[in-house]
Amino acid sequence: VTFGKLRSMRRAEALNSRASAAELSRRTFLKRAGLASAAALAAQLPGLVARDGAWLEAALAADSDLVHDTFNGLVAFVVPGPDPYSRAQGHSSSTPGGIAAGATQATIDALDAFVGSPVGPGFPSSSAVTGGLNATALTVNAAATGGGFPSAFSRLSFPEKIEVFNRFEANTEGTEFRYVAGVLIATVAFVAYSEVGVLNPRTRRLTKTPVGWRISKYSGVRDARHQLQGYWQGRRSVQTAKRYRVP
Amino acid sequence: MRDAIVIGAGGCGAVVAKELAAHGLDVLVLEAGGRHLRPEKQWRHFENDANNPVSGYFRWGPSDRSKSPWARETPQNSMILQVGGVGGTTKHYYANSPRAYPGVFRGYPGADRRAYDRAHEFPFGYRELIPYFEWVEYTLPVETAAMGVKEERFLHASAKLGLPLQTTKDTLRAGYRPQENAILQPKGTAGRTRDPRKTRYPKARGCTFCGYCVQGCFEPRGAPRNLAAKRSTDNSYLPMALTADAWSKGGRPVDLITDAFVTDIGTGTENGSTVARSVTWRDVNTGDTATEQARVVVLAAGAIENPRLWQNAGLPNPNGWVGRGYTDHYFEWLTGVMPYHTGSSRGPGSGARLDFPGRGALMNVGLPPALQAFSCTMSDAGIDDVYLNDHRKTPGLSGNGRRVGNPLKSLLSDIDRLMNVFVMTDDDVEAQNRVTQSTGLPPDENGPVPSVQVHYRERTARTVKNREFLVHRAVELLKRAGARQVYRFNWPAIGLHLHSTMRMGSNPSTSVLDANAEARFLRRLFVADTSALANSLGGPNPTLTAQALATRTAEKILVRYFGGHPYVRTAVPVRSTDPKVTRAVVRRDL
Repeated sequence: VTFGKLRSMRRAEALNSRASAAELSRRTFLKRAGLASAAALAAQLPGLVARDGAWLEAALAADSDLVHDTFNGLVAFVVPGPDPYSRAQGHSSSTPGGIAAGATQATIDALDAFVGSPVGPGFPSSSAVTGGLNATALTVNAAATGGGFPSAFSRLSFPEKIEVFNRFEANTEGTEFRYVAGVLIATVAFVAYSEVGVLNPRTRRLTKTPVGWRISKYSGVRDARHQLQGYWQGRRSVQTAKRYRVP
Repeated sequence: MRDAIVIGAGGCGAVVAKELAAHGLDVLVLEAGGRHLRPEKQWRHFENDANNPVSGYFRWGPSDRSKSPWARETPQNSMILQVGGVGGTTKHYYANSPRAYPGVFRGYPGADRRAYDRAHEFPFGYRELIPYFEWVEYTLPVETAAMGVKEERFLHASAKLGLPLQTTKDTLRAGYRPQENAILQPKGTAGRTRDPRKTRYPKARGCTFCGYCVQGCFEPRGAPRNLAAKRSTDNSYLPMALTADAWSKGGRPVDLITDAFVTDIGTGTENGSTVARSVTWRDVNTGDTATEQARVVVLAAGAIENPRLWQNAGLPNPNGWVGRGYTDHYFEWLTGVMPYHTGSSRGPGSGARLDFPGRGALMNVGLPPALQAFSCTMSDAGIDDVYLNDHRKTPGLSGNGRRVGNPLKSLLSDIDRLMNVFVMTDDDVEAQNRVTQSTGLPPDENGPVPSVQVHYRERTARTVKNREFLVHRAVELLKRAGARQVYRFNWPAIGLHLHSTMRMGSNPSTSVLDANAEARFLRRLFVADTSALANSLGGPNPTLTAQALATRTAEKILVRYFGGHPYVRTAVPVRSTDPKVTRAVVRRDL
């Protein structure tokens, strides 16, 4: 067990113990968000996250290790592979999946950079999503132990993760958070099938073939393709209909 | 004082700017985003690099990609995919350029006239717009699409539906056809080889069938900017606007300022009416502000930012319709798994379609893998039929809602055996669907941010019925094409076609603009993009109609405020590919 994992597990224990989590995480969050006081935090958290105590506590408790662990569970859910998170959910694949594609960090980065997050200014969206998924996971199966992961969501089986999304979407309907609940899976899928994990950001060239291209048999980028089949019935142009022609 | 200030250099602002510049007006164009002067170097064919809505070079945000995108509140399951910068969203559009259906215009006499949103028709007849359609179609130009493999398969299946082939620009009845696309069709080696040594300009001219309409077009490599295949306005109208003196007698090139976010419109009074007088913008990089006076102001910042600016500037809105009436074609997406090669990831984004006047349209769309995955996982109907939210299962399908896990991997296991059908619904104008100032998000550096509110599960009965009709035709089409599996994804509100939030109309109580696209409550201010459309056009892709309307608006401006004469019916337009334009583009290193 690595030091990082031990630290994550301790954070997870804190997550399940609201009293201790609240104080620990509030400090963590305030520091991260650059806010001076809990009052400032409360004033800036709108809607659902502020209303739902469990979500707020879970979100506040989400340090970067727990966020990463939760998003690994999410990425494996959307595009499974042979990785431990996919195996733990009982739904894996022999071909590489989203985790191998580098989708975990890319999804976290995308959420955190999106200022339009309904969660509030300065609040990392990935923390809020982590809180939402894990709090909902505990309502689906609090006793789940799959993989021994810190994240309650990542410990669930594949069908249980579907149920998390069922509740996640229903609970957020009519709230600011429905947007995130809606785009989350699609965002993971987009980055998992993209080049993001193997694009050198400095040279903007690929270091190897992206996982998403291999598992979709995509032929790769080219400036031109040999695809031209001609024109349908040889028709090259059409004109304005006689009834509408202007003299 | 400028003659005109055009706010936005996207799909329509560039059109108005070019038309006014051709007639010698002093035009300033302000664009909030950046300008890609060297797309061959600045763009790639990589999907995340281009289209990540947060960090891609095609996003709604500052040109500095290290900064966050500009904020929008979307308090529902939805996704808006607009692009900032010169060229705007035409940089990633598919260049599909059908005309609007005649039935959405005033005075339509067809037997099916009740099939349309009659309460929100255009305030003039369809025939009125024909010369402007023809002007734009010639200028871009718009051409009948050649076929790749996927188009040929799609058109064969369409013919089996028993519908006639549409052989006119105008849609007179239900039918199928190759797209009319604003794409230079392949000539020379284009489309006939993948050898990069043989596909540089001028050996290859026009579309090289690369498959990346959505990542911006700089093909064929080596072509002057105005001869790139796809006629996005950064490749067509904007180069013309910047070189107007070179191809138009008496023309005057526009001044273009990029990274200039407009934050205010100043007003005054004239003959007892409130008029637009000035425009204030903020330099996105330095934060400095500047103001210029103008005789006419043209809003072309898009269907979200136009009402936002109006509201932030405190401009008059006595009937409350600024921002209301948002239409978006209530899209739907279906994918068939075919027993043969379709080449779905190759060739032009979309080259074939079916039209159903009074209902909407279907078209074939090809995508590279990341966007294909996005399309199959964006849903309002749960996951793999396990839960459907408030939706019902569509009979005869292999699945409804998102595909997730191994079902997703299985579906995407061979991208070139897929056939996608994109559903564009004739959706009603509804006051409840609107853009307003956000109360949930704090203002950003450009002022209060917009909130885009779409009541996507409460559309009118006609809208819902139209969508279901189209879905059933799409299923039939895919099965005729031989699909072994057909999936429906029940898309939520996807913001690709955004219209009618500053709508023109006959009824002053439900429209912002008069029949000339001039604001009813603020003279000397015109709106010239998709937000000015009276309705969703019946379902066809909006760019061509919005550009034709923008051309008409430019002519109205010339006549009303600058002593000009109508010219579109009598003059001959200059093509954006004209050698005079090309020479000027090359000489000025545009």
